[in-house]
Amino acid sequence: MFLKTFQQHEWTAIRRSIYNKTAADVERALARSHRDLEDFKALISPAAAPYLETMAQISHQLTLKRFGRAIQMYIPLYLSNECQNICTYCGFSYDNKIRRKTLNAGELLREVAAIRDMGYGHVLLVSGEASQTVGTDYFIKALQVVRPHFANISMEVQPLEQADYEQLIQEGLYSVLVYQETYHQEDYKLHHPKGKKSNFNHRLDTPDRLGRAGIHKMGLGVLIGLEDWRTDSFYTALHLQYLERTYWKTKYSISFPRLRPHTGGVTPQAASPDGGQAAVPEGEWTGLNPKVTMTDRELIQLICAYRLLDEEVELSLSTRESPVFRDHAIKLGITSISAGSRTNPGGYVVDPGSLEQFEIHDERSPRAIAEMIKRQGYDPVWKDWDAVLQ
Amino acid sequence: MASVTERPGGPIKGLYFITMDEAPLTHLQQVEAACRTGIQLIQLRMKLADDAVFRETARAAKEVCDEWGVRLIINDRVEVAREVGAYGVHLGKQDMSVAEARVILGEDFIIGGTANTIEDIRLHYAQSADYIGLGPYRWTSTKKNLSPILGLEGYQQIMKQMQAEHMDIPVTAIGGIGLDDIRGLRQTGLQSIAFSGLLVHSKNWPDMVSRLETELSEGLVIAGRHFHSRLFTGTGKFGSPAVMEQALLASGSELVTVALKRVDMRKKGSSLEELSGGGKDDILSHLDHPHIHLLPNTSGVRTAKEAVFAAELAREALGTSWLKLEIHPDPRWLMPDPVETLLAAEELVKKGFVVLPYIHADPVLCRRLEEVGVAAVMPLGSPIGSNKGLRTSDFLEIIIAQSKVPVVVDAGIGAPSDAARALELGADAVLVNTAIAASAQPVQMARAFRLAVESGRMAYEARLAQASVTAVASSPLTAFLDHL
Repeated sequence: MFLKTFQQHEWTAIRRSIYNKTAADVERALARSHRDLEDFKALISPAAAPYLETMAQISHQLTLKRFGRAIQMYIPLYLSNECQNICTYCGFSYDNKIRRKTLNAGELLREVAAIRDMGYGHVLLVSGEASQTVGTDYFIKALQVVRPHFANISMEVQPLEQADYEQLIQEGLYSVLVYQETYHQEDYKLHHPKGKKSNFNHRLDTPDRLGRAGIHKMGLGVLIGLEDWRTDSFYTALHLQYLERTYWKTKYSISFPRLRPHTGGVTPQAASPDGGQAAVPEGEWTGLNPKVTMTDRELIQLICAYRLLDEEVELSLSTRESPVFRDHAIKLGITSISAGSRTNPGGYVVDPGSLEQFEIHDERSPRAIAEMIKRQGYDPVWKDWDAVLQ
Repeated sequence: MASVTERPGGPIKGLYFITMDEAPLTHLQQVEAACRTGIQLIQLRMKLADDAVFRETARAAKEVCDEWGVRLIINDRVEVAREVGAYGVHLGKQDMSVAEARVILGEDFIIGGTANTIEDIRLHYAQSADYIGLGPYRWTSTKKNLSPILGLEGYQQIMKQMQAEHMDIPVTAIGGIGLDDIRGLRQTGLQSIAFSGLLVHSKNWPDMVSRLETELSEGLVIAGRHFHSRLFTGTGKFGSPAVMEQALLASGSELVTVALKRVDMRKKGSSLEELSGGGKDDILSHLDHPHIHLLPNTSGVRTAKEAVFAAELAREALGTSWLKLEIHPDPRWLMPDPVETLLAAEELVKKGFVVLPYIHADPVLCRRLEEVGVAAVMPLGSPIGSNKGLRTSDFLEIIIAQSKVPVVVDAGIGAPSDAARALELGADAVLVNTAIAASAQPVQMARAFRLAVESGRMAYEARLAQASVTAVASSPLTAFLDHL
């Protein structure tokens, strides 16, 4: 279990160690052909900022070597916005008075058709956490509706038990994304005061349950903005390495969601970043203001650092990011990208007006994104799996 | 097995130097001398100086430490620590409390506190100290207000009690500790030891520091057993048992493999001498040294079934459940059979053996073996006895990177440089037999391997750089960020 490893790493000591990294540490990390977590700390530290272009060059080369010029295309399909959790940063939070909606089989099929029409052979099913109505039974039914239409199905839903995952894998589930949000235990409690999600350890253990269930792929990440992103990213990398060594038949991906505006949430608070970073870059926050902001430059640094640590891990970028940023990021280590996303249940055809979980920043159509990818000499991949392999 | 990157307590680890009054060098000179040896943690302790002198010395010491990338801790005077931007402060029993110091210093400084008893530790722990200086070990002239001495037994008791109470905080041992005390202290779980007089009065600082570091280094742990030496050896091919014994002693090896087929295992419960059958074949009696552990091997068996049978005989005859599992049905190249090895390993682990399988440098096989519970994996560097070196290095690197159990490179290591290379790559140990036994001077060669293994490990721990980075003149990939 990862918990044991986790408990051996004390937050303030890790944070201090990252912020104490020097230019010499960064240069040493850059010079190595295999990098460890100590190198990763140097690469995500403030000391690495002047080395960004070098990091980008290496990241580009390593990604090219392992993944070639292929960018996987994915798109979320929101099944439901019902949720029993209170999460201070989320539009679906239980205490947020919005209209709740869960797709039935017919509605789901209409959404599926719309996504197929865009060209996708992969889909990511998303929900809040309402286990009574949107639990394993519902997911099984959903997979049975979706499976004939997609070669590859991923899920980003509440943490389930190993037996549930085993059942869902039988029904064609390929990959599960489950983000820890933050590895800072006390802050986690503050941001998840109510609902099943408030159990930090249960969530932390989810990738282990997935690994034991024999999932093909799982995705990790933290919600950037809740806590010091460097320290949180170290824990993500620690988790990743533990999982890669323990469940070695599984593939892994990392995402880097930055907090975006949403409806509801707590009163904005003054940003209290480490080392005095800039204020929130994009205006009009209606919800939680990030405790820590991450600049675009820092996000690129983090993406490259992950690639330099791990040549095999898939790195994924959502429509939370801006068009210019995404256009450039695909050369820097990213291997999969979403396009044309709607973050509300029924958002494609059934109920386009319902409330989104978060606002997207890149509104371009999948076709436009594909064209952009091709212009850069890369190949957008719409299907890269097959039901016969399950 | 790649090294663990961050241990609990992080920064307080290894050697900790504390400056002293009444020394042949000034405090500042002591700081400089310590920095030159590569020590990472220094405490400035000037009990006799007034505030002005202390402040000035602290400022200068901080400059020196910054230049060497060394962390400076200030003894007692919290305000000075804050003023000069030290790494932290150390508070003696007569000084300010940790809690009071925390109010002044905030979270960005390390705060350590002296303790003599478990009660002292509880108090510091409750006040969120970052580390404990526990002592004194024995009587020392450095401390004027002396608390009762602890001795090894005192440390053992207190460390045990801390564990029982789940007080997870780094402890540095302090007060009159000598070279010979270190191993005992290390066994209690201590990760750091502080020195003053031993260094200040030594003629050769770097030499003393390197000896201290050797004693303090964690070494290799397989199935709960600690090894100081990362060189494992074999007993075959020597000209005589006497030469073998001398060579093995010169190698410093603590784990020596012995072929079961060389031992008469029917003589149950006999002495080692009787088991070896006496006469020319007298292997075991030459291995009867307290630091040498036997690793029986199954050389000669061809199937999993035979291996399990042989292993059980060996356990009974030699009184050890450690086993080097080798199954090579092919008598010419002695290539290990991966399928039979995996089957046997699974069975033997269930039967309670500590299994170290000899295998091809096959990363997937290593993982499968890890999953059935082997204690280490022993991939080959090149065909056994070939002395060709690390022909499998690309695969060894993968195995080392992903293994959760120690990786011992076995077979094919022909020269000390091969052994050094294996350790530089991150292998946890090597097993060498032919290259020592068949050399013209086995004893000298054994010593050469010992040094090579130490050197390789040292280089690995010093974080060997592998290639230089070419400078990037322009910023084609990241220039877009300037316009965002």
